Amino acid sequence: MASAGSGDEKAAAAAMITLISSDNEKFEVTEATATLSQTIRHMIEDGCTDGGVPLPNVTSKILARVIEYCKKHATAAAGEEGSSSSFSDAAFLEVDRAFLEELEEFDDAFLEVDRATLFDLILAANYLDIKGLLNLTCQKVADSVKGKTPEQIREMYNIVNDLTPEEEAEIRRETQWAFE
Amino acid sequence: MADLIDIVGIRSAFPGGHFPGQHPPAPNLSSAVAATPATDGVDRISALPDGLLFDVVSRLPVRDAARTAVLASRWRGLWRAAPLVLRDFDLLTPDGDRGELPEAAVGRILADHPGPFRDINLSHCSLATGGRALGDWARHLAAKGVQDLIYLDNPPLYASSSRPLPSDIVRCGPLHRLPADILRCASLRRLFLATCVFPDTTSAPRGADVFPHLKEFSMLSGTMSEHNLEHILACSPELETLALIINNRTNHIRIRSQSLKCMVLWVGVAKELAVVDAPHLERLILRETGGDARPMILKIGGAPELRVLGRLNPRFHTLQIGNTIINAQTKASPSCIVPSVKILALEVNFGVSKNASKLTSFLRCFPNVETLHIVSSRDSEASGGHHAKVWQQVDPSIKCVKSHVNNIIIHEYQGEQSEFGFVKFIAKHARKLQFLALILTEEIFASAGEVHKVNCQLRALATGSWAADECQVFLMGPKSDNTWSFAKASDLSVEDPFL
Repeated sequence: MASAGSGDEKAAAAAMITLISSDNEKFEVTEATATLSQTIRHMIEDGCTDGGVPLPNVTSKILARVIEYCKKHATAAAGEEGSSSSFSDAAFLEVDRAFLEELEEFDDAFLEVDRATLFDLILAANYLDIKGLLNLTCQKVADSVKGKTPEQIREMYNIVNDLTPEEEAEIRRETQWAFE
Repeated sequence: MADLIDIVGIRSAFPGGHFPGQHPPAPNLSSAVAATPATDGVDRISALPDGLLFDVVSRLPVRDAARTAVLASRWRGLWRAAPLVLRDFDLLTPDGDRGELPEAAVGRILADHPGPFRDINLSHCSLATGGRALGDWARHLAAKGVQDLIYLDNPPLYASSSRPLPSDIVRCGPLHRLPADILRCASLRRLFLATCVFPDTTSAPRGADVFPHLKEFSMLSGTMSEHNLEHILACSPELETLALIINNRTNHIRIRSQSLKCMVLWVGVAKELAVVDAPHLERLILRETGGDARPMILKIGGAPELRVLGRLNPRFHTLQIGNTIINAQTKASPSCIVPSVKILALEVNFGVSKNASKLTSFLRCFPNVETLHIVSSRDSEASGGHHAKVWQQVDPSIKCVKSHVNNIIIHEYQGEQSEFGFVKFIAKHARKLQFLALILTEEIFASAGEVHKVNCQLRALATGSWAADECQVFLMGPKSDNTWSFAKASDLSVEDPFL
């Protein structure tokens, strides 16, 4: 069982997928990395990845970042699978913890991007259906909004207030508890 | 009637109002984005599609989320249109006290928001003092499709006590009964109730359409009659996890469920737990159940897929398989074994010599165990001295030990002669053993001298005394585990919950 499993893993590791960005740049990635994207996973399952996967909504600059994220997290997923199947890894729980911490540090550093890139990453994560990346980026935006006044949020994100003073007053009245 | 609750324990188990099994709040990341000045003047956030803005808004504390409505017309209806996520913890004043009671705001929010209610976590409200302010909260929960509900009631606490109690136990007022509308929340996926009385089910509608999607039900420190429990099981055709935590009021627990995969009985005294008919039950977890004066009867009837079982304690549990009550004289026969169990945890005081035969009588019931956890307990039972020889007289014909066990983990090992006697017994008879771990207690682990002693003990086991060809032995330090780690026990993605 165990030896058959590792054989499959090797076969999977060898399978490469070509992703093509909107500006026609080609990226070779392993299937394990690519299938963090549910969208691509479904394409592979349907057998329509020959000749590469065109991603007309994602630029090469963003796709490179997305692949960087997927590579790191695909390695993490492989590590996790390994440890749950083998009991004796209990002895290495400490190692697992260190690895998780490293992953967190990676995520933190990964998010150190300018705002335009952050929103492009959100859109790409949504389009490619990469749950972890979408969680991470949406949480980043939510954290930046948390505890701020409406004025601060508008300024931070260039939001133009097109509500009339009357409309704004009405909203404040409707949800008074939120403004107390 | 006053109740005793370990409110400190409950609170410590859920830091920041965060409950087990809930998606942990994402860490507060340093907001580099916020610090980046907006250079090009483009409003990218408002350009996100609705679905993504819903996602962002639902991650905000509820006040912040509702306030986004005044940002611009694009944002006006977003909070109301997004599924509601509400944690009453976010409504407390910054220092976390109940200066301003959250009930009134909770009542208003549940009335205001049109639903659906995705995730409602109320753990700072009190039916005793805030019941009126909460208004028709339960009716709104039912009408607006609550999916995930945590309700922990806060009964009034009495500081003074006529009898001295352990410092973390607090005397509280009577528990309040939840409104019957809770029984009409047909969209529930997960229900976690604590420190309250389950609604009366006598005249409630019954059938598979009452909780058609409910997957997990937990009751902590509450009151739930046998009748109510039976009602939940009968009305939840998709229920996978049932956890009763520190409940002392359900005397007879009878499990009949076509869907249940995991049953947890965590720190609570019941007279009987009977698995009557549970064709998909994989996991039965017991922790500190049963008492000295009156052992709990554990009846295993129809559980053909039971894989993970424990901790059984021969002192506190009377085991009945089918119609046979297991005792030292019971001979293994097809009618009194549970062949499906692969991971078994037993708790035993090795210092009491008669426990050896009790332990082996239990082991004989589970012939196919592959991973065996033994917790070496030091309960108050009168110790008969530490006889290493006890295990030399034990009948070694135990099928799982001889033919299947490949992992043995002894928890809270202290290196006493009686414990070591068991290790020698295992070494001599477990032919398939590949991995033996001795997890030391905190005290032993802290002392280099003691660790050295245990090491010497193990070295003294000559190579010749092992039945298995090749077995790795590990000496390990204690792991952090506490009474409140019941969330792990019911997490079906954790393969071995006793690790």
